[in-house]
Amino acid sequence: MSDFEFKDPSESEEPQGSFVSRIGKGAVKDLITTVLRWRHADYRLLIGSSVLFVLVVFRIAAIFIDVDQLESYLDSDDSGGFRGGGAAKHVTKYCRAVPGLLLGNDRNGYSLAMTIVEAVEAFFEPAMLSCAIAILAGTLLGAVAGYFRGGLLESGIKLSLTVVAAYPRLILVIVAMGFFVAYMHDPGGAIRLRLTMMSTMLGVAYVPVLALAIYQKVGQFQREQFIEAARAHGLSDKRILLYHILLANCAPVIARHFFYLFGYFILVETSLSYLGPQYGVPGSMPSWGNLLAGCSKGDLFSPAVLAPAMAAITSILGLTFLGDAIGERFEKGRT
Amino acid sequence: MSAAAYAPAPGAILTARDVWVGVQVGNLIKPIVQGGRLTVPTGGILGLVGESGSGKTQFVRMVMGLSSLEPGVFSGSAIYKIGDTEPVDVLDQIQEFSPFRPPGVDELYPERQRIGWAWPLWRRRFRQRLALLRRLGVGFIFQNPVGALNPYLRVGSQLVEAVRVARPKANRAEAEEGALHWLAEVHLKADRHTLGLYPHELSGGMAQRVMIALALAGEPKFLVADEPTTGLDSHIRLEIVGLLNRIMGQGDLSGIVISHDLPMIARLCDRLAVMYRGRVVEEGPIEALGNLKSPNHPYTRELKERAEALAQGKHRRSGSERADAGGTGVVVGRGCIFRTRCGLYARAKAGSGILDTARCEGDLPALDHIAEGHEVACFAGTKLTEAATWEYGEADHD
Repeated sequence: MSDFEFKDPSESEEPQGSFVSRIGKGAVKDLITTVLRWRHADYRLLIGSSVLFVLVVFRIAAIFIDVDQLESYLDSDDSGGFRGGGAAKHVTKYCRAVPGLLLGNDRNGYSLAMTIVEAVEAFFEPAMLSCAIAILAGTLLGAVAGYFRGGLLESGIKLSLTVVAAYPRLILVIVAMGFFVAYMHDPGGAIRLRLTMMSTMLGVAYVPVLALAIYQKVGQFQREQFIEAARAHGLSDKRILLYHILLANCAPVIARHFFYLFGYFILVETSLSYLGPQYGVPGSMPSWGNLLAGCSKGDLFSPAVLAPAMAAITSILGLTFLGDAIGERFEKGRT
Repeated sequence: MSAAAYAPAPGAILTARDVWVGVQVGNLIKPIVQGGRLTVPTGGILGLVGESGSGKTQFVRMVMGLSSLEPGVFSGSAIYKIGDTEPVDVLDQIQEFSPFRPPGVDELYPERQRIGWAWPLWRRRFRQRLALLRRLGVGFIFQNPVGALNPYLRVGSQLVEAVRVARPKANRAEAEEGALHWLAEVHLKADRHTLGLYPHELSGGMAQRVMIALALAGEPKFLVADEPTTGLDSHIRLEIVGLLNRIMGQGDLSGIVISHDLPMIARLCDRLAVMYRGRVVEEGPIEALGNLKSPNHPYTRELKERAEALAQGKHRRSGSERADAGGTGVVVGRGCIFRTRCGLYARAKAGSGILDTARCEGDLPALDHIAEGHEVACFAGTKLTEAATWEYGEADHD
């Protein structure tokens, strides 16, 4: 008979006592390994995608939220806000904590948290429109100028891009919005039109940035042997440009600039709305810039300033992180 | 010479004549191919040899329309006659549209000529003609297979695309079937896993096989292999040569093989062209390469001797090597471009040769018939047989 002795698993010496001791050293080791593994995780991707997720959730939530229909906690005499309506329930000083209201109330007396959520509406779709304009026009112009080098087409496109790029983007948008609003019949009314104008202007102002990036990338790839090989295999110029250069090789650049511009639009919208209703979003619409514009010096460290400011900073930073991380992932994953 | 003067050689799939290619160096245009000419018979394989920098790759690329240089080609003709189709000259009217004209007899560099804005238009026409050529069936195997595969696309996508060029009506599934077929043809594992690989996941030999599969997927009738075994180890090199031998030996495939590897050229090709400093100095049957006693241009003889020496494990330092070891396309002025390395010229200078040294120094020898289908650019001409006899004895005629 062998020396081997069967041992019933139920009789094994399991660690007894507390939970920690029961999960044993193996679990601690696993935990440490997991933490160490997380050390190599791309935090930019994690933060960026979380920010984007929150923005999307806020945008969906904003469909169901109408702050004007909520209770206002503003004293009826304190009519400093743009938006009226709602029955005043308590006499509260602006931007002070109100029992039952997360972050307190805004200057109109409405819930600040709800206003911040609803304010996503002011930039989400316009930012998408801006990105669409910049990507479509920028990619097309950059690709054409980069691929058909040495001709009038390239010279003309480069000249026009340089002229637009020479003007500071923010100033260009401010001037354009100023003119546009000044000639509007009802500046406070056509909010959607103003937002569309803003996104179009910013999209156009961003075209040279993307177009020049694509132009350089296409020019660089055109000298690569695989493009020469694609020609040798009989692919058409259109196919090489669209599939081999733009889709396969310029996708990281386009993805990166999409998120940069999304973040940049938030910055511009917040800045213009902060400057006043003649440039940005009218006061009748919730916006992070409007929330900041309504605060006085005394409110500097109150939630009414910190919350929208932090929301804007976090969003811009998160989207920039996301753009970088996705761009790098595209590039690293395949080479 | 006007464009109309060029005509395809009888029975040739490619006839290239007077091709000039240049690169811009500062304000000057440095010619790297000077009056290049080639004839590839239908169903024949031409080997193009020459040292590094002799311009063979650029010459063939220009003839194939794979211009990556500016100003690139600025003179010449490259007429393809594939099957029953009309001849296509990819360089048609190039001289009228090019901003440069070939240098005259006493000029070293080409001069700029006024063409206005016509050059981009010509390039467009050039690309259209090339697209036509690709549809007619012209394939290219690149020297650096990893660089010639798009790093961002899977092998499968690239193969499927190439299959669809040859068969535009094939749907995705049929094109994938085609891709698997061509993978099997080049002795790669024909499965979805291989199709899903990115180029950086391939070894050198695998990448070269994929490159060959890509060229074959277009179902070419004319195939160019540019140094297909460079950078591969000896085992893989043998496999690739065997593969190319099988591919080029089957059907009515014609083509050009560019290489430094003379044994490979001898195995794959029917004809041979030798380039030296941007000029074709010899074109003839491959038998002229295989036999040391056959009449050859002094430069071809030097190449053969070195290949023999390498094969026998000894290195013979020839007199010509002492004189000039470089070959980077430098224009040496009037006279024969090889004379500084030429053993026959050195012997004639010493007073015991078959060459007229004054002629070598004053004129540039043109390709001259020395036998049936054999041309050599040397003033010795038919006396080259005599020169071969001096060194190696009577030629074998069996």
